Amino acid sequence: MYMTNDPQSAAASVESASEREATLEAWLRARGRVAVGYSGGVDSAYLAVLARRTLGPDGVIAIIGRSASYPAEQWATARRVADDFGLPVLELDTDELSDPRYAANPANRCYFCKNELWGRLVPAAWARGFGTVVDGTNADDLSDHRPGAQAAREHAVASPLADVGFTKPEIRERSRLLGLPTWQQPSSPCLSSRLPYGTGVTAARLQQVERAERAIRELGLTGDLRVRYHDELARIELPHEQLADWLAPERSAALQAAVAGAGFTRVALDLRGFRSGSLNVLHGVVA
Amino acid sequence: MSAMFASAADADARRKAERLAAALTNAGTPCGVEPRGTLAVLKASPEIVARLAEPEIRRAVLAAARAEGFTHVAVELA
Repeated sequence: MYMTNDPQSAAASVESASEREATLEAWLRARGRVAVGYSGGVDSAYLAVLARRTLGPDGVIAIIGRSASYPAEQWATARRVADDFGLPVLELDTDELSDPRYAANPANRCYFCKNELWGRLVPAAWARGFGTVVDGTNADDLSDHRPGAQAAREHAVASPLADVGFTKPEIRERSRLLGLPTWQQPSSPCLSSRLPYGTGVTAARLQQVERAERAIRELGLTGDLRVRYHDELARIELPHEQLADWLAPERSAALQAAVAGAGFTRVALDLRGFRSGSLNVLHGVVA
Repeated sequence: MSAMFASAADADARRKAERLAAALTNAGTPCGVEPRGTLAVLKASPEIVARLAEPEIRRAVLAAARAEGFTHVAVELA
């Protein structure tokens, strides 16, 4: 689903990804001890586990920043991967919602979140003797609207996946070869990404979105899913191939009931289907 | 002053929604259209809702909405 179907380009991609992995391992060895900003997503899980394999258990620490915008399901995945791969973990509480500049939900909201995250995580890493702090930004991310990247730079956080040119499909493939369960995991950005810019971010709204997404998953939906918050209305984005199934009367009634149970009085299914960064399009941040 | 601008924007959004609703009706998929900024929320009978997922109809609806300046189209579930 996430990989190319062209065997020739797939082979080329695997070959270059293998070379990139060797480059990345050399980069890690040159640093000696590395702290990874770790969410349990595809990219940071790969980077953390590769660092663990390259540097050993004393050479890496995976640091999780926990806050209201971090999905509980993703936290569970992060812990499971850490347990399975012997990854030392440190958890820190972060509180971006208490920053009014973040809570107002401007288009550069991610900057304030990452500023809070790295402002706590980097000193914690340094205090434990980890002089290098890295994140899971990949080469594909560089072309996206990512104001959080500026905060990473300001806190001296490196992005070695992006620096060696790793793309998302390549990271998925290398993750599969490492035996990581995250290799085919859908992307899971923070819950605040479900709120249109300008709609205030509150813990209650984030929990409402999370409850709605969990309820839909419990109906058996797999793959990418977003519940976009529009006040009383939930706009659901699913893979467009699944629209016909979920617009049929019986299943649409189940979907409506599930999301209504999370506190939305109106439920609508997006006709285009899932789009990463959909709310950036809604607000003209990207085309 | 700002209320006047808001009112003009509302009137513009309503006109776009009305034109989209007319286009969808003419195409054989009658829907009400509620404008919410650049999001169009479609309201239709369960039979029409089910048909909106058919690839050709879906593409035509998305194109008609885009022509009226809507970046997103969502079908309300009753």
